[in-house]
Amino acid sequence: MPAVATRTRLLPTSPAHLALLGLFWLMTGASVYPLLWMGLNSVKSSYEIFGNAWGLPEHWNWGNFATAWNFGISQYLISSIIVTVVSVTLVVFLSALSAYALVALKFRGKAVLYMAILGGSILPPEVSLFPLFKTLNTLGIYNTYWALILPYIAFGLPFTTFLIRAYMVKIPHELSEAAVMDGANAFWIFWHIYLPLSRPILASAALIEGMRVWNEFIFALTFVESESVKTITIGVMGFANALRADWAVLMAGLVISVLPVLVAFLILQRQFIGGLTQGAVK
Amino acid sequence: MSDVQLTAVSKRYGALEVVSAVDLEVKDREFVVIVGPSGCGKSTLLRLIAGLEEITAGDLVIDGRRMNEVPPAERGIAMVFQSYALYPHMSVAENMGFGLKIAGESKGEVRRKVLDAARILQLDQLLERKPKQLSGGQRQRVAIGRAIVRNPKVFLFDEPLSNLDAALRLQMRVELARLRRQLDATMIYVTHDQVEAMTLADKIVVLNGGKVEQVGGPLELYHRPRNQFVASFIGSPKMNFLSGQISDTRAAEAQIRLTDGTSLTQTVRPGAISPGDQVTLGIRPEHLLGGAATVPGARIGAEILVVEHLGGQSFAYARLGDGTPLTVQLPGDSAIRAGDAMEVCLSIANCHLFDSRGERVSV
Repeated sequence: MPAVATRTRLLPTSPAHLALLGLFWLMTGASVYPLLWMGLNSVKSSYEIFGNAWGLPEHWNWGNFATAWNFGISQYLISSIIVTVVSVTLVVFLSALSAYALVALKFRGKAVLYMAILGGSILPPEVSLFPLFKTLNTLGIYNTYWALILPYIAFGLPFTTFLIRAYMVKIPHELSEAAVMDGANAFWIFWHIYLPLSRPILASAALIEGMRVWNEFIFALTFVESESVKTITIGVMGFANALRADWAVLMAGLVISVLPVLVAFLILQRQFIGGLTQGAVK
Repeated sequence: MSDVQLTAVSKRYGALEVVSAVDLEVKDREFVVIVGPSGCGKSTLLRLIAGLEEITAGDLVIDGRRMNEVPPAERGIAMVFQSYALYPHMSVAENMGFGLKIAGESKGEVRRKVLDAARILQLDQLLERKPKQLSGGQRQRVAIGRAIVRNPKVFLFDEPLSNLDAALRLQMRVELARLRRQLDATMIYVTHDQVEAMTLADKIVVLNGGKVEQVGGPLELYHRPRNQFVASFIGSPKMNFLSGQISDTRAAEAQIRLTDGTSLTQTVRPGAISPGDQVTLGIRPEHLLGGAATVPGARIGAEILVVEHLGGQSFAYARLGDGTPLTVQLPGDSAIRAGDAMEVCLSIANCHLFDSRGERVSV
């Protein structure tokens, strides 16, 4: 289906245009400035951070990264990668399955089920902290990767299902009917038709979910305590206490902690934005 | 043998009955076209045969086997969808071979069958392309190819040409007719386009409001429509209808007085009509004869509103004295213009008489 896009352009000298441009640069600055500041200070010495916080470093001190890495950040990074990859993979796969069921299968109570799934996104994670803590203890998985992965999946499913369903609902129903005529069963249709055709939204969902899991703090602080299982958000916090005054190494550690998400976003940004705006216009 | 038999087949959605006790017999290798206006239930009927919708009541038998509860893929049928329903992420070859792959056929066998079908449809140069890289006609051929490779007993077509432009539709219609001879299979074809129905069908089923109005050969339906609905639906431009009243009946002869006062006689089924009954006289545009026609009939005067010159023929859209619209077919070089008054002759031999319920009473 060819999409016809019409765009209203404001005159470059109109007050509205200038105001929008100003707002755009203000927001860009607010987003990029802390990152730049963190990046610059990660290659300075601590002394230089206090003496010349805004300028370029006199000596580019790349050794800060090696120090941060050897100080234990590598273990936190590995934990974060394991927790994020497993959580995101399972959340996206299970959400795609439930979205497919909501879109393509006929069964009683579908609307109620969908509302119940959406209702899950209203619940703030903090209110379930204590019951979850008890449940994880009972299950014997407290202080393991699963203590983070399972709650992350549970809290990720509602929004991701909503997102993927909104995309799948636009896949023509005749495709699954044609596949039924070809002899395909429901899972075959999901795997060979709906899943490949939903690739853009799956990428978006993975990115959103990946960022959420990577940056999550409360569960990571509550449900694990061993250094070997701690994720990077908690690791970096402990890092600040341990390093005390060595701000440059701390900055290097922070750069390492945000780098994977930043790289993932830059690689997937086209898919991400495309996925979020799918269906916004005809 | 690939007979398809429907006995009292109905489909209800709650209280709404969209297909109502349809009886239909499609013989082996017959090309049956189901035609009717939008919402008449023709696509639903096809989907019932395909197994995409459950039959509420009645029996569907294919090749002597009751198929009501048999899954679509096991009915020995293939369907071509209105929107083609090609898998956009697969190549032409993958689209065509998808069903065979599911059936567990070997890669070599799938390739061979896909190539055979592609050759029939002249798609062999396009096998690696994706659907978006194809024209409308090529996509339609891929959709047909996907049906052919499964070697079905029965082909189902759901308005397959309605997404194509006029020129391509004509071309594909010819190709379908050729393909039909080549495949020599049973085909059930749904369309709202009565030209497709007339040109392709061995047998036409006219559906209206979920009920079968008439089943018959194209010319039978054209020349002897069972009721006013079929008469108005088959033929383009539509049949003209003139209101009147029976003034006298004598044996099988009925005297009709039209609302403008014109009188004429029709042969009717004995006892089908009585003096005083309201009737409708139907006559096709080509049977309204202009000039000094010498055939038996009544002459009526009309005022020409619009003339369409199509080259080989012209159509005059006129109005009778009482306001009844009338379409008259004229020679291509006719000099008649809008605003002219003309007299036309209703050829009695080609008139159709319908009673107040719309049922045919003329023989």
